[in-house]
Amino acid sequence: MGNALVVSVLYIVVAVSLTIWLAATLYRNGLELLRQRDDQQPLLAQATSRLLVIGFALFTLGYAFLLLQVRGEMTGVVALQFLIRRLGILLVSLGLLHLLNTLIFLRFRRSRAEEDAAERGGRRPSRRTSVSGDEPPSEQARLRRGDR
Amino acid sequence: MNGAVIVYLVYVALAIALISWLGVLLHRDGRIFLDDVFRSQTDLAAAVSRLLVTGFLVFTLGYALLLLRIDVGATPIAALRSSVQQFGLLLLSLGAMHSLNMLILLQVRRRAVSRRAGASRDLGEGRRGRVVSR
Repeated sequence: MGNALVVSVLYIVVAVSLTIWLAATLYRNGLELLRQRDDQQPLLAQATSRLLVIGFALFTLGYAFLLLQVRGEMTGVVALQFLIRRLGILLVSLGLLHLLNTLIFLRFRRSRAEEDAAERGGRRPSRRTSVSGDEPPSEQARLRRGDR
Repeated sequence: MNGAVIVYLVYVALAIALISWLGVLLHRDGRIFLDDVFRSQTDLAAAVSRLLVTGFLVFTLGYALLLLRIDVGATPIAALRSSVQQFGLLLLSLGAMHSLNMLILLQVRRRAVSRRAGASRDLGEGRRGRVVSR
C-alpha cells in the first residue's frame, strides 16, 4: 500500500469521526438550547436542531473531501507533513464553523423566545413573567404588545 | 526513530496536554459566568459551555498542528530549537486567545446584567424578583 493511500485513509477516518462527533455534540446541546421551559411544540426544537445539524454535517464532509487533494505518490516524510497540514487546516476551519453554529443556535433561541413572549403577552398578559427565554422580550416585542 | 522525531512527538504531547488543560479550565470557570447570564438555568449554561469549549478545542488543536514543521533530517538540537520556538508561538497565541475569551465572557455577562436591569425597570414588579442583585 502506497503512502498516498495510507494518508488518504487516515485523513478520511479522522474527518468522518470528527464530523460525527461534532454533529452529535451540536445536536445534543443545541436541542437543550432550543427547548423552552413549558414547550407548546416540543417537536419544533427537535426538528430545528436536526435540520441545522444535517446541514452542518453535509457541508463539513464535503469540505473535508474537497480539502484532500492527493497528487501522486509521496515519500514517508512528505506524506506525514501532508497529513499534518491537511488535518490542521481541517481542524481550524471546523472549529470556526462550530463556533459559528453555536451563534446561530443562540440566535434561533432568542428569536423563538421573543415570539413566544409576544404571543403570550397578547393573550395572557399575566403570564408574561414566566417567559423562559434567557432574554427579556425585545424592544420590538414589547412595542408589538403595546406595553408602552 | 531518530532524535528529531522524538522531539516532535514531545511537542505534540505537550501541546495536547496544554490544550486539554485550558479546555477544562474554560469549561469549569466559564460555566459560572454563563450560569449568571442564563439566570441559573444550569442545563442551558452547561450546553452553551460545552459547545463553546468544543469549538475552542478543535480550533486550537488544528492551530497547533499547523504550527508543527517536521524536518526528519534535522539533528536533535536543531529539532529541539525549532520545537521550542513553535511551542513558544503556540503559548503566545493561546494566551492571547484565552484573554480574548475572557473579555468576551465578561462582555456577555455585563450586557446580560444591564439588559436585565432595564427589563425590570420596564416591567415593574413582575420581574424584580428574578434580577440578580449586584
